[in-house]
Amino acid sequence: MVSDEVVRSEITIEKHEKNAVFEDETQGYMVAGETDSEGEDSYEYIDTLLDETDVFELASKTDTRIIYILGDTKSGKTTFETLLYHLFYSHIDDEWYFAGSDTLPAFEARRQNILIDGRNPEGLNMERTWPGDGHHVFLHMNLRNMLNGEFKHILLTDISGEDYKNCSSNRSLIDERLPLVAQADRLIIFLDAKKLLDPMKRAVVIKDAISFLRMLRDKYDTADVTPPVVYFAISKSDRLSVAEKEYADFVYNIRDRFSVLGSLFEMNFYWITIKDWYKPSDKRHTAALDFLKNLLKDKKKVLPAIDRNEIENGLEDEFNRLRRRWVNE
Amino acid sequence: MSDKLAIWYAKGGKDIPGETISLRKASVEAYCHEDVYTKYIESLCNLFFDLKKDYEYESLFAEFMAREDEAFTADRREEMKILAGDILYTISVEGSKRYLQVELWFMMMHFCGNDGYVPEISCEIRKELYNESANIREYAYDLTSVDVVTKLNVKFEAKATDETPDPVYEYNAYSAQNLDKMVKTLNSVVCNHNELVDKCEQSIRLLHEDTQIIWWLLGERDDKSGKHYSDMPVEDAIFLCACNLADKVVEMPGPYAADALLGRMIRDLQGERELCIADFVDNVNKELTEMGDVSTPIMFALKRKGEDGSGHWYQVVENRFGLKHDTTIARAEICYEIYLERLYQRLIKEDQ
Amino acid sequence: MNKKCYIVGLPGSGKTTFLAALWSIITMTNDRALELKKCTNQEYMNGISEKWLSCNQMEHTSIETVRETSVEISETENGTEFTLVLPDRDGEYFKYEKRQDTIEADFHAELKESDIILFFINPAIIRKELAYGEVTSKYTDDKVIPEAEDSLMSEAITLREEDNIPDRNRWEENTLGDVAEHAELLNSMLHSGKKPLEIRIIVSAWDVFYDGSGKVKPGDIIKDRMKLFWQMVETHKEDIHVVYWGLSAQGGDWNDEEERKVIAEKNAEDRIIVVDQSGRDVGDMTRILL
Repeated sequence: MVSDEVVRSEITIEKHEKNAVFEDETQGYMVAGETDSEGEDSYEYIDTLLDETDVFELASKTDTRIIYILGDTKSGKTTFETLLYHLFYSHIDDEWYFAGSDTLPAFEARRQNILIDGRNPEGLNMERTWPGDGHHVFLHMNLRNMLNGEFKHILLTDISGEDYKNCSSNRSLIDERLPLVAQADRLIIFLDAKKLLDPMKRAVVIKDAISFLRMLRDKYDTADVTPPVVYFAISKSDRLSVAEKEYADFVYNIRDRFSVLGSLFEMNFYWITIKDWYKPSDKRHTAALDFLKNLLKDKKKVLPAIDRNEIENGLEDEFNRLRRRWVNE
Repeated sequence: MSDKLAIWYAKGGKDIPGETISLRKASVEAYCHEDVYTKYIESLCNLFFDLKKDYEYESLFAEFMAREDEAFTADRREEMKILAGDILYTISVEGSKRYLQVELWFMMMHFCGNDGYVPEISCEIRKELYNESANIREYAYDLTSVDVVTKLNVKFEAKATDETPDPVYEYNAYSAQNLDKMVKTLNSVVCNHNELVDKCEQSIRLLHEDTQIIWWLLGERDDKSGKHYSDMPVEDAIFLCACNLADKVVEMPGPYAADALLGRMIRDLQGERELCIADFVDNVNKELTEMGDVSTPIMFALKRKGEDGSGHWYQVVENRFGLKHDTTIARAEICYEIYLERLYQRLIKEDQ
Repeated sequence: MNKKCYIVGLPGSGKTTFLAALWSIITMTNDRALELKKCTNQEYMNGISEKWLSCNQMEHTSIETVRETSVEISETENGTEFTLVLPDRDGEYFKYEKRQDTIEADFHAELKESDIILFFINPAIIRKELAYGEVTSKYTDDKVIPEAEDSLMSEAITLREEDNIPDRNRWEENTLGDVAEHAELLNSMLHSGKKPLEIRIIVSAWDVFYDGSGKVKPGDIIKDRMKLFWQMVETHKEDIHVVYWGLSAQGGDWNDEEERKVIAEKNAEDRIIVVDQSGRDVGDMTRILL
């Protein structure tokens, strides 16, 4: 059996050989603490992530929103989280301001991977999330709505693609690897547009997502909690350089495939691109900031109205039964 | 203490560790004693519904919770809301002192569009009120629920202790034991009698309430002025209708069909079926709304309108209760809300 | 009444230079808003004052030698006496890596004892960065869209060189970016438990930004160059009361020999540039403490 260390060093050697982000899916990533092919020491990350106890402490005091980010390997999950942070680093929005983070060093460590400089001339060299990372830890961001003064504490997870795939076929792993998913307000499932364009890969991507959500559905039923809102983030949407009609058909086709889930979850589809993340939203893609604002929108819990028929079915007293006769007049 | 605390935490989006839940349960159980919570009902409700912030009360609440868990501090506001909700739920479900006040408050807050931090708790408590209203009449005339007293078959044997013409009789040991049984049976008879009397009294009260309501329905007139509801402005009619019905209630929390009765009464009034809250409050006759201290949404709005004039009550009512002045709602619902508020005011007065 | 000031700032933010200038002004000149009454570490203060007067760069303050200096000052306007306790901490002490465990607890304890925090920031040494995506936006704005992504990246590297963006190899000793270090420091201060915090944000090296027009405001410089930090300040206004100041205690670039000579010939008080948060030149650096 090949140990992790051997696997990692093989990946390291391949690092500089290709412009891997755009052409080759077998990209190597620089791994924290490992030496690269030129023998120089790479810088170390400081990862200060919140665990479940920290999350409970925070949730006891503040309005928190747990967002689980899932998806296949290299679909852009970690890059997206990093970009959410970088948005506030480089830009001041009118509505939402950055109010702090208890995991700022962890965000910073990730942000280094999207900076262009001598060490990273390609400008996007995100470290891979390994299976086992991110199970019980969260990134934290405190945002304040400057229009109404409310604070919102966002807790982001970053689960590896392998863990996501394993959970989609094994319900018991969801409890083990996604412990707070029952408390999650939002679920973002990343779908790689590049894979969706390939009909054969598309089937696998969609199957994994549907299977995962079905596994999750059972969990919500037994836990007696409201399912989260599901956001499908179709990443690398800049690859969809097709004519308008074909684009519309493609979009319809993708949405239609998820219709088998019925009304299990409230589902939203967003087309995002890391490459043009600065651009404002248009017909074909949603800017990262607009996507974040949608995530932050409060959705008032709608409970079913109390079914008074349940109470009234057994009533015998005539005075009580008046209600049934008169209430709809 | 309810067994649903862990569920409330989950519904509120908080994952509470297992060891902590047992500490919280112990705290809630201790808080649900009448001598602890009784004077803090309003504060508990304010906390759960995130209304007027009361830092002093929150500090006291945190201190109480800290008796079981030293790490509990006053800044754990989000958690305190869940705990307040569970305490209120427990009071309602167990029928503890002032449970009706809690249930009515939840109904009023629901009208204001506020179901609290864990809406599921609000749902459960409102269901309790409906069930209670229905059960008053379903089981009031059923005397079979009163325990039957078992006949006592005992003999008392007394033996003369001397041979004088007027001897002293002594009961033997066996008879002495039966004396105890006899006392117990007598007590059961007394309790049974009292329970029957209570039930009969309640039945009579309910019958009286029913007939009063039926006459009122037939007359369709305001109790005080005698005017027909259709002969007065719609807003006044809605207000008076609700007050008249609430004043007829003898057995709290009133008839299960109250909303339907009110709807029937105002059904044929002129005007739109839906009203804006602001229009309603601003158009009700000021003389009708002169009242003392009120702490319920619509009554408070009416009082402030009377004191400050139309339009000047919007912000203060929204800040205090979350009720938006521009909400448009069915007039039957406004009528029912005023009815509930009138009952609530009576309860508060009776408790004082 | 005693007011305790606590000086905070990362390395190179101008804390010691400020102290040196302040000491020089208070001891040398009359007609100040503040008047010196007493000082506990006169030798040290005289030493740094001499360096400042002769336009020599201050030595990097060693973390091992914490020179807590207490200066008693009287406010001349209404005669109120108060004590300024100015612990001269090494800038490294405030960096994230160092402020862990026990040092963080000490830091919070010191903050709680203080009435005013003087937070020094030097935006001139904040390193510019270029992120992925910002290049493409620049190019699409100019309507030049390279066909090959390889050429896009090589153009980006050229752009970086033109904008003088430093190579990231220099960052090996730092684990957080410059703006993030300041944000993390502010985050720690917010967690100290003291509310509200009275903070005077002193934008040092003000000579770099100052144009004499009175239109450039210290807060705007922070907003422009340290967006993350500025947002944190704006979102916690209930917990921190911030007043911005712009200060150049050096009066110019001492590394430029010609400029240094010009500065050295000026009177002490004339070389200092102080602006309040509206950008107005106030002339007297002691106003920062009032």
